Amino acid sequence: MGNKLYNLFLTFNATSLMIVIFLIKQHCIIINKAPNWVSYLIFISIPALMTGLSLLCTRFLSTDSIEGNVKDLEHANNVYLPSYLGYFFVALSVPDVETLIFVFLILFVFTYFSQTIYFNPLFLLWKRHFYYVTTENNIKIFLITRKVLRKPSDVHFENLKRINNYTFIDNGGGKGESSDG
Amino acid sequence: MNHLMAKIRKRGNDNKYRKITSDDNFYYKLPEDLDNPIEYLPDHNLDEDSWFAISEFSKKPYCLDILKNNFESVEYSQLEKLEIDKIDFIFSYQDKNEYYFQRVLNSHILSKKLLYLGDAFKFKENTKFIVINDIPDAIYLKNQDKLYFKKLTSITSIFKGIEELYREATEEETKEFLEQSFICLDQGFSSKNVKKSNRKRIAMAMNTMKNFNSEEKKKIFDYIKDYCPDLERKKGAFVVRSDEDLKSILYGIDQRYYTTPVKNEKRIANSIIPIN
Repeated sequence: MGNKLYNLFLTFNATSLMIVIFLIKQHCIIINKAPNWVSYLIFISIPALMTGLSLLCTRFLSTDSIEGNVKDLEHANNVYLPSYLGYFFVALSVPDVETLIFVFLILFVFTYFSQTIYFNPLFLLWKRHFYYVTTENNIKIFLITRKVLRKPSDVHFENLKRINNYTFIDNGGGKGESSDG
Repeated sequence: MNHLMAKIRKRGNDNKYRKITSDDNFYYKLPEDLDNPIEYLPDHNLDEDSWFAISEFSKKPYCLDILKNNFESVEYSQLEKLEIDKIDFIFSYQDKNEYYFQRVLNSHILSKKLLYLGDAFKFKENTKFIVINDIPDAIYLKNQDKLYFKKLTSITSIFKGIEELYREATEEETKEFLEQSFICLDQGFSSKNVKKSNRKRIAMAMNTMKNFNSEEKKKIFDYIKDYCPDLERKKGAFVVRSDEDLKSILYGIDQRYYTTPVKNEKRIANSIIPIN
């Protein structure tokens, strides 16, 4: 049960940028006396903070590990971009709130069931990277981690958290192999 | 990290293994009496503190694929609540080397009303449990490539096909055995009267007999005559009236009768291990 709620929360975080873009397009302002961009920044910071919160909540998920039997590693930071740009264009062309609500709901449902809700660019702000990991038995999983991974032999995690059966997150520090750049 | 897994009953070729939980717990303890295991022998009765072993287990046809490959918990889906009643067996993967198996019968899944006595009292209805046994049904140590177990019957549902190590003679084989010239059935005794333990002995005896030439066979029959004077004979064949008579012959074929060197006491070995 807890897992489903958590997945709904992640889905909301991933799709909420669409609402933010719409509000900016409509020049919505919540603080009258301040310049517009202050309100815009507040809008953007809400999903960013919620994504941060979702990272904190991973401690309640069930634990897993990868002991190093990995055959292949593929960087996936850029995979979400095309779909995200799609969201933005949709948000920019939605004319009114009623349409937004329906378009948002449709997107929300599809995102939830597609199980690829974790392609959330906001994770990048929290210094998380995305990887496809293929194990020796040819099972492909999606891994979110702070570590910078280069070789399959780097993939060694003692304390992974399971978001769903294909998606795992490592919330440990950036220790281990980390030649940033 | 140690992992507790379940195998569920499911049709089709989908992966039937599920992950139950992972943490640093040791779900089972490595027994202290695993040293000096006995390479599996169907006609050996195990002492209480000893184990059977099968060496080079990964090469056996009944070895599970999951034991042949390296184990990664992320490859398996999480066990769902609806699947609890379909659990076939559970196993834990511990210390990157040890696998502990426990079969799960429906009667092993307890469904109880529960009052939790902790910091807060909590009443829970329909709580389901699987009791983790102190002694698992089987242990596989990967670095030794050995499977340890105490009772073959309790692991036949886990390692499909392992029963070939201790199989019962089929009805036809039993009939065939009873029709041999050195056996003379009496008082309506037929293959239907042969009980389970004797069927197992027949399966073994048939193997043994195959390797005997006619001279060795004659020796064996004389030997049975010597040790079983009560066993009646008709035209050189042993008269079998009961399962007990049959057992005497089968013990003889297995050469379980012996005489002690001191005091010449005649004995039956009810469990044997070849020395050397």
